[in-house]
Amino acid sequence: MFAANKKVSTRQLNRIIITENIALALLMGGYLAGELGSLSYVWLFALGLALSMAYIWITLKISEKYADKLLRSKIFNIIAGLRFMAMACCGLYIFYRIVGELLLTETAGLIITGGITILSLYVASRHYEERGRIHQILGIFVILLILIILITAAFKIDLHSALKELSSGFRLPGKRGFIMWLFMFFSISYFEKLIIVSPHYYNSYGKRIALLKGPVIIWIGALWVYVLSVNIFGKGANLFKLMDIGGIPGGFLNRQETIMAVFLVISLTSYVSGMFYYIRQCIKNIFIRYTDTPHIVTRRIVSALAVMAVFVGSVIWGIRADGMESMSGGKVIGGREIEKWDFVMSMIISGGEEPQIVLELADTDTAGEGFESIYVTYEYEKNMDKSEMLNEINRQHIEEGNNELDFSHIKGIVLYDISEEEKEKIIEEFKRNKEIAGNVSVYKAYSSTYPRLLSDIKENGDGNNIKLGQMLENILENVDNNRENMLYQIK
Amino acid sequence: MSQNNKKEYQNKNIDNITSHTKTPLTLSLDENIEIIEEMFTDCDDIKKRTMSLGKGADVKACIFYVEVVVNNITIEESVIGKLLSRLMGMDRQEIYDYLDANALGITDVKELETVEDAVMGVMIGDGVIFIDGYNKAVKIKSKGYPMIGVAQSDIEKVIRGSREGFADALKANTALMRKRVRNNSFKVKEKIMGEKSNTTVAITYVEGIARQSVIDEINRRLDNLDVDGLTDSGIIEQLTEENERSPFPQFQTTERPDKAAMAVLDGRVVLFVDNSPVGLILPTTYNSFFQTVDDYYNRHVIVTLARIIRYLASFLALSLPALYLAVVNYHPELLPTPLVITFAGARASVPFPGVIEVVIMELSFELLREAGVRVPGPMGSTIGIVGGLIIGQAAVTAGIVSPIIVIVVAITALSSFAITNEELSSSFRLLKYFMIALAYCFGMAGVVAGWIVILSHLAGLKSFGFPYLMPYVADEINDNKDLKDSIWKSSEEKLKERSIFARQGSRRKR
Repeated sequence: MFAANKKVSTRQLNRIIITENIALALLMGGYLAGELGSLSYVWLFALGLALSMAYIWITLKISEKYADKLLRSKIFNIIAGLRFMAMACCGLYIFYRIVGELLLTETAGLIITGGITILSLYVASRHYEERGRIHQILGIFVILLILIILITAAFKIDLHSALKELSSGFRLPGKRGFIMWLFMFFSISYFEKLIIVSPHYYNSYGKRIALLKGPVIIWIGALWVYVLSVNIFGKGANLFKLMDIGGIPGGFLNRQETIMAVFLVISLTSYVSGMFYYIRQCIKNIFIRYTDTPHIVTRRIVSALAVMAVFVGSVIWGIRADGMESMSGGKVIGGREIEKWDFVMSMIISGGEEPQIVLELADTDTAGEGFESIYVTYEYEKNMDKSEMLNEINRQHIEEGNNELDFSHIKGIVLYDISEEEKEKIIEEFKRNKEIAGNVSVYKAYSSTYPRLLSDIKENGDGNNIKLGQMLENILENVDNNRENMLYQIK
Repeated sequence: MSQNNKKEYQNKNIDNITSHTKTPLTLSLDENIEIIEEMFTDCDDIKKRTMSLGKGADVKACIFYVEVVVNNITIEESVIGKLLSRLMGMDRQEIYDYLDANALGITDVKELETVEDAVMGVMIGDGVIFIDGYNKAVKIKSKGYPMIGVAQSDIEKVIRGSREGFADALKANTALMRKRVRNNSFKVKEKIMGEKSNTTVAITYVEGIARQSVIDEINRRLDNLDVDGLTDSGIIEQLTEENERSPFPQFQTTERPDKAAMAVLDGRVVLFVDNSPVGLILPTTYNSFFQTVDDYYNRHVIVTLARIIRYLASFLALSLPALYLAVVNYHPELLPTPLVITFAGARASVPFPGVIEVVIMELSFELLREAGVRVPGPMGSTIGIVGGLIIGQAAVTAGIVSPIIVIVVAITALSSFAITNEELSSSFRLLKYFMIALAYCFGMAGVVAGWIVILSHLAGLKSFGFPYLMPYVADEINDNKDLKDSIWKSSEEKLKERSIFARQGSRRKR
């Protein structure tokens, strides 16, 4: 019948390689370079790219000669299998972090990561030719999402300073050895993949071109995303932080973290499923030396154990890295109905001898006519750990019989009579809190204006059209140099 | 005839004429009548009429027919009657010679040599004449069984194009096809299928354009089919599709002759089943379901817009309730602030969680849909209007559901109607609940996981070897030419080649 040869074309191979690796490349490239912020990223990427291509070229030559032998070699398959398991752990760990930090902060990341593991297994169980088609269609969505993110983010960067940043980046890296080893660890997987799926190629020239094109596209993409991150957040930027940029909270395309999260779920699933596929192939190659049938049960058991090991390993890694807090309090179903939130529009934090926080809440009962605002005041302890401040306010709010507070629509924060040290801690806590968008404006009130602000609010009380959040939002949109007041810009 | 032989024939059924051992007719009319009567025991709708032919009325004859199909008046006035009148004026030997030569030149007259063929002839609805001294029976076509004639298709309406739809009779349907493809390379191959029903199935294609591998494969599947009764093409569809557990259809259905004709000219194969007005087009791809026949009669820019809307509709039909649940339960930050407050205010008085709200409204809509289909005449459409407007409004006023969910469900329903193929639309109706469950449990992560599962399934699905997601995957096989007629449509000027379904070397149209 039509197309029954179960081979992959050059283009399919290209797609498989790119979609399997795109998440990792974009995340690892940007993330690692950001974490090691003192290094020059341009050299870093150039080095990574050159090493990858050189390595692939050499391994292509070797593999063409020895592919069959290696495929049958137990040692090769064991080593490759263990490495793929380690890389799958890495992918699942990244996914676990993303779920916990970005997507669903109150839901057990464990359950969702487990779900993605099962999903990856489902995709990995397909024949390589089918995987080509799966990756082709997933790739369309990945590319579409990346384009949306890159185009919208590109409008937000300052090109002049981006070029300046780029030109200042030509310094030799200080930790070359570590980076080189790290990129080698990931680059070598091309060699192993090449060997493992060699029965499925039908064109060796095309195979070479595809394998060489793959890393070029990936590393260029990683460089572009990193340039964006660095330009927006400065050195030490983290790709996750790119998701904090956005317009005023609530615009779909502006809240790129969800788009980014969608992209990451798809591409990480491709990556992890790819790793599971290669693990299964390695296990199969170890057993296939004899006959298929007697060892099929053993193979399945070993495959299942391998997958469990990957999952457990990644989660354990996650627990160690994040601490138990990331798992505690997680509910399987972490959602909350929209009417069970109280939405905070703005916040006034005042220090001094009687520190207090005034919250502007949207009155949902007046939603039909353009909602009114309600102001509530809570006190907090002067030397309180700022990381607990919002939780404490939330607790007090709930104790009064109200709903839980939602900060995702906050427009602005006003600080008054706060010391520099306290201010730093508050800003850091707000940056860490993923609910609060990175582009929320933060202002400082002066002693001449603050009492007037408070009295206006208290005098008018409930529902008298003083909307502080909206006022702050207007200031942000209409005043020059407004980016300096955005949360993510404050150092 | 001995009692044993009588019993043998009494219990004999024509289960499958192609495999049954054939019993030759004899020269004796009485023997033949006895055998046929035994086989039609308790078949009161099978009528027998004896007559005497020849100049001296010495040649006995008998006609067997199905009552109503061939009634007495028909016999007198039809070809059968004319034949019998002619034979009245001949000698015995002249009668035999005349029949041998088919001197009357009647079309669709066939001589039958076996009992089984004679019985099948009667079952098909023709009149079968037995003549004493002649060891063959003569089958003459009659007007056929009662049926609905050619009428407009109810389920495939177009703005521009022919208004004809397929009829119940297979012969009428193949004739409608022949009317549009007036070429001897258009082939119609008939098979008898169904052990008890002996239904005629026709495989139609254009020789030289359709792939032989596809024709051979459908023949193989049909030959391997073991089915008792075949009353509709849907049974063949279910029994021959590659993945019966998939919610997605692997055959395309049509009630339109122009669509079927276009399909065969594109290299595809169309299957007809007698008594079914629905033709099965194969192979098929996901993209095929979004192409309507009037896409090729209208300007390509407008058609591109329409197709984008259809694809969007399929996305909304599958995902809108799930996205609504994911956003309101997990990601309220995605919505603009005034909308969030409005949603929260609207939902404040609703006693049920969001997922229950969604399920209640979706199930209500399914009830309305079923009721609208089953209730005849104008009441059917009235129920849809009554249900949609009054019940929806009443539910909101009573505080059972929020107004937002009525909008969500309404848009979802409209989107499912905008999908041109009812079977594909049904698969989205089913998968929607799967997505709702994932969204409720896991938010956007669940929605994305659902998309990945569905896309992976579609990517792995094949229809007669063709990947289901062509031309979006694997189209490099055809140099990406099929993408010109996918979610966007190029002008007719650029569509010079047939699609990948056509045999290589015969894709050039002009």
